[in-house]
Amino acid sequence: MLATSGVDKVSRAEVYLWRVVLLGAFLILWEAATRRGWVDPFFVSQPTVLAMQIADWIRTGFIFRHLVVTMQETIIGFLLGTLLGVAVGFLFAHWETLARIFDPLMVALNAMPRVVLAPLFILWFGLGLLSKVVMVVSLVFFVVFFSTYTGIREVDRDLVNNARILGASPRHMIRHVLLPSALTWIFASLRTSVGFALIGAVVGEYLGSHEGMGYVISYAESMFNATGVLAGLLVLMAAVIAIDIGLQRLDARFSYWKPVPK
Amino acid sequence: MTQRFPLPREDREFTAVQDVSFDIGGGEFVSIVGPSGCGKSTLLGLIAGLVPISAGHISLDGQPVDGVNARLGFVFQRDALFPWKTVAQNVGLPLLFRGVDAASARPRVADWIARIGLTGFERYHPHQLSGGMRKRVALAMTMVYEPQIVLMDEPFGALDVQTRNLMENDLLEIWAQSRRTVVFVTHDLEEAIALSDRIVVMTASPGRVKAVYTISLPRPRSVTEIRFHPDFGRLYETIWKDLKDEVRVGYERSRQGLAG
Repeated sequence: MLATSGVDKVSRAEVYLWRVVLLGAFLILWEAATRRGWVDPFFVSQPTVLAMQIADWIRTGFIFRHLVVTMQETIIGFLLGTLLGVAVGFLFAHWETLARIFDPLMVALNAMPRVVLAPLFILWFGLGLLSKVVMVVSLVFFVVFFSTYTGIREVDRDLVNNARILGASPRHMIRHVLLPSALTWIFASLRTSVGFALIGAVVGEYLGSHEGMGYVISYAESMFNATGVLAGLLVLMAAVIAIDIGLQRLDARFSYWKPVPK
Repeated sequence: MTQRFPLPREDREFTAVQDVSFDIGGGEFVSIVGPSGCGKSTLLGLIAGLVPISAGHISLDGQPVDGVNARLGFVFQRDALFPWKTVAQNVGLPLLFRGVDAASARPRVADWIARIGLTGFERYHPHQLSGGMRKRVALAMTMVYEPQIVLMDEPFGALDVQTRNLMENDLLEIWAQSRRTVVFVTHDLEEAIALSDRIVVMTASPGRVKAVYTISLPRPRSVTEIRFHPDFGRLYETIWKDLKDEVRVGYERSRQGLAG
């Protein structure tokens, strides 16, 4: 959701109404344009055909099989990438020398477009789950690593000093000061890294796989089936929105101690 | 003692405090006043053992300071509360760190929360409290483990005058009950006179001791009323004469970008 300043006085209901009206108008225009022959439905499909296609996928259960595969890759890769990112971030923040030695490598690796690496991953790890998980990890790791690293380095010096004065042992320091402080940064990057995770999985599937949402889209494309491509994208979009809402709830749960943003 | 810091990207060092030397007796309330940038806070950091000393030595009860001392408390300029912990968790944190078991910690935490008048706010988080309330939590957090020496770095600087006077009175009351040694850094001379037994006046950077004054105003004091004591104005005038030159020097230097 976009951050709004909240100065305008339009009510929530009105905003929702406008959204529905605009979406409806767009769909009607699309439908009309293809029916009247202004645009060829071969290229842009048609809302009604799309709806029927998705309904069909749901009825036969076809889409769930692929969605589950994609979600599996996303979740496994995301968890591994996050774990690895937090661990390495902690390590680097703790041992300054390590960070100095590996800094150019991290920057270089992060600068490399991972999408281009996907064919290599498929070559190395096969067409199955593993190559996609590696792809996802390679994307998620850096987002989480950099936010953990910054989170620990940017921890309030006064808090660290206060904890030292109050008698914190190194273990206390990690548990009560560094980890909570880093968590806020990690959570701030969570929505970005989840988005990356899904992109990684879908791109991996798109480039070489025999199942998953990326495969569905890639297969439809190879058949010149615009309806299949668009329907696949719509399903993915719905999945992303669902995940995003879940994450917002989670974030709210973990940021109970933060002031409510105005 | 002298404290120097290397200046980043420059080939010289910055001397924060130089040849500073004074003694503080047990149970004494001493204030350190000086122009901004004179190294007052550096001095506290050194006493607390947060920063290793460049030259000279500091001892607490005959023991040289090397590293953080467990019998010492520090109230920071900004209240350094842990934002992800509740009021009760914050106040209980030093006890947790010191391995006090939860059962014996609980009444001590409750007692201090009551003493700072925040009973009922135990489960609030720092962002839900006012500046004065946060400061009181910071004070309770320091006092709960009964440190023998309490260092305070302009603790009430950010508060409005009314809250500030209330907090100063609370502090005097707590101090009178427990008679801990207090080293109080401030740039506010009135505050220093109202609270202290002795005042150390520092020079502009690099900070040295310019003079030490004994404040023999009667106790118990109320910071709001002691200002009308006939000796108060006289003391203020004497010490201000010393301080004002330093403040001017400090100001001129900071305008030239020399003072830290």
